[in-house]
Amino acid sequence: MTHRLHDQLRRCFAIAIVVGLFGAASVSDGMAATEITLWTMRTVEAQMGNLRADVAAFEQQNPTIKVTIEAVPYNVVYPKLAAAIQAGTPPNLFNNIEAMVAFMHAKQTLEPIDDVIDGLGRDQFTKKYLDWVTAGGKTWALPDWALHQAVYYRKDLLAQKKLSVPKSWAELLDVAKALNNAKDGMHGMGVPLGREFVGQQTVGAVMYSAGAYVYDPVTRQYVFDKNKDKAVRALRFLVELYKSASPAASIDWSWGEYRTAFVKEKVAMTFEWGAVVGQAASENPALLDKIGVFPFPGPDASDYPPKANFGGAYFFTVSKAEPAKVEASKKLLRFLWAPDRLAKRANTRPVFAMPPVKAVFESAVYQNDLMVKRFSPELRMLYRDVMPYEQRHGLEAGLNPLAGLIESSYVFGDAVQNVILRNWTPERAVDWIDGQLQVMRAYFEK
Amino acid sequence: MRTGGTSPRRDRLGVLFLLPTLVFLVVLIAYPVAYNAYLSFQDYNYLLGVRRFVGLQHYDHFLHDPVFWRSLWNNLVWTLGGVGGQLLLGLAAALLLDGPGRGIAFARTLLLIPYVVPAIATAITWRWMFNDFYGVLSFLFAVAGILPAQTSPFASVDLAMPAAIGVGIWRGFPFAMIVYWAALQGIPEEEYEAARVDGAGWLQELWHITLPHLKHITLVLLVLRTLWMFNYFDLLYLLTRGGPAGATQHLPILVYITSFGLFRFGEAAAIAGLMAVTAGLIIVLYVKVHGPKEL
Repeated sequence: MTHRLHDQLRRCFAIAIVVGLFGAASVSDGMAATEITLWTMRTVEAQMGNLRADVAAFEQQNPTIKVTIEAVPYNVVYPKLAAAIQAGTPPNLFNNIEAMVAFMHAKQTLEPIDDVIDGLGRDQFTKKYLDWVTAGGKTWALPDWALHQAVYYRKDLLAQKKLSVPKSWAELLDVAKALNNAKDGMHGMGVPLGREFVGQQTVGAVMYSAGAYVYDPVTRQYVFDKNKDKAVRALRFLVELYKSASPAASIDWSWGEYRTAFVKEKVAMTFEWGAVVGQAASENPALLDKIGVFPFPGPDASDYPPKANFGGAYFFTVSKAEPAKVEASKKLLRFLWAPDRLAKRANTRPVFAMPPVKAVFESAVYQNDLMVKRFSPELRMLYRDVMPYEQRHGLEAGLNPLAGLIESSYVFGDAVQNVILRNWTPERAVDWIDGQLQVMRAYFEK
Repeated sequence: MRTGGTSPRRDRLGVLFLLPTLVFLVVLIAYPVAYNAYLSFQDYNYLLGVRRFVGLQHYDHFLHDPVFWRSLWNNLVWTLGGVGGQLLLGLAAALLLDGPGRGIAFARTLLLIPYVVPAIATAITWRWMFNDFYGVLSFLFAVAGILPAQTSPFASVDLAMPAAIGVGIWRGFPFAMIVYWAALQGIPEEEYEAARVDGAGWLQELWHITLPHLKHITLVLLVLRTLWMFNYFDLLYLLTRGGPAGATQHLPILVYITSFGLFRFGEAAAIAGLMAVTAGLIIVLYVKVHGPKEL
């Protein structure tokens, strides 16, 4: 063997050792680090910033866990999630709404999180939100934000006209008509009926106030077909309200349009989730002192506030994955649910979002937020009179696929648009809704 | 020395060079099309992950479904209105901007902007311009008596589609403009000079020289833009979501809602199959009318 060949062999051996050591180190790192993905449907920077900060603090405490956060806007969530599930890569953690929980549960991608909830204290949570995400005796999501839908209105305008807060449909219609002011371009009530999501929410508010449930909350049986009279009555009232007091274009309005109309003083009242407060603070701060809120009334004043409202919440879900990722995800949830963090997360969108835990709602961290302080009586009223009675289409029977399909398929929004624009009778519209719901039920009950 | 002919080695080399294209065609075109066809014969319950063969059942269902026919009608209106407007406006712009000079070149570049702006930005901007309270176009239409005051065309079953087509024309005409402008450069100047000697005016030049020269490229544009508009989903969806009351729901939106709203992928695949057949028929019609040589 020549000296040169010997040198070359020695060099190759040295390189092999270095490469081997490097590889071993990488494998060792790979074994130690658990990487998880977190998707969130909250895309506003204040909310993302808060989440990023909390996750960064978590990573600092847990250097072996790496979290990748991704914002997923509403309008792309279904295709993106479906593709991810199909590819076997759903997000380890997903900050989402009820419909997504229902969808993911139907696709059997979720991990139950009763252990997390029990560890945090099940009794602390508003029961309604846990019921919505419970199926087969297990809880599949952790409530993060409690939401509400109610009527936001201009206190000053009601006072000017010496009007009282309406406590029935008839009173609401009278007040809305009285607040119409053609000279100022003011409409009494914004009735947003955009096809995607918003129409369903508005119809839902009126339907629930009339007791037109999809499932019976007690027996958990499908009852929309038995509630058709109530649904027809609700739809008839909604159309009358729209025609009497709402801008014609509100049939196409989504959240942005109706909130802007309220903040720019074009509607005196509107169906709303509380986000107008934040928008008013940035675009028309003088309006803040004039904003009030009341529960959407039912048909009869004697039943005020009604014992059913359309509502919603945000949740966190944990997807099935290898045990280390599931455990890391649950560890992050426990970290994020520290009371102060939960309160601060709700404060990133004050009034719109409330903590789903009573003690956190009462905490100094939550209550000391300037906007929360300003609207404290209203928030307490909502917490007491609205949130315990919230319903969401299909979730009256707990978590089930129909709830997800109702949200994603525009059935309620399409029905009311057809009544207004294509002269469908309310009876025809309700029959059509029932027919669509029956087809959907048959689809997953095959 | 070998100067031509074939050999097994050259054949293998040829196949090797073709391989990337073949892989591309199979993976990105043949497989999705074949899978769509396969899916359309299945009742695919995406939520439960169950599928069963149903043959032509979905096709039969949609051929008797008024929602499908209304969506097809909307699709044809959207396509024909959009393509017609894009070609007319594109031709007009090309004729106006067919000349030398820095200003003209700058204007041509400027007019390309609608084509490069993302669809989401286009949709948001136009929805804002058609906003009932603040939209400048809604205001101008109201002043002109076309719309009642404080009304958005997107809230009307009669006006939503024309308004959306207008946006589609605005977005797509630069493509036609640039193609027409390129074709105009190829028309021999001598023909115009001879016509002028014979006393022809601008209109006669246009009719007897320019338009005949643009006939071939117009047919190519018609085919390309028709296929594009027929399948064009994002702009219309972002503008109207297919509303109000289904007034702008065309077949691509119906496919989207059937797949990602109802999760009935088999039925959505059948609609997509019917769309492909319809688009094919349109192309055959064009070729029949204009003759295969034109393409």
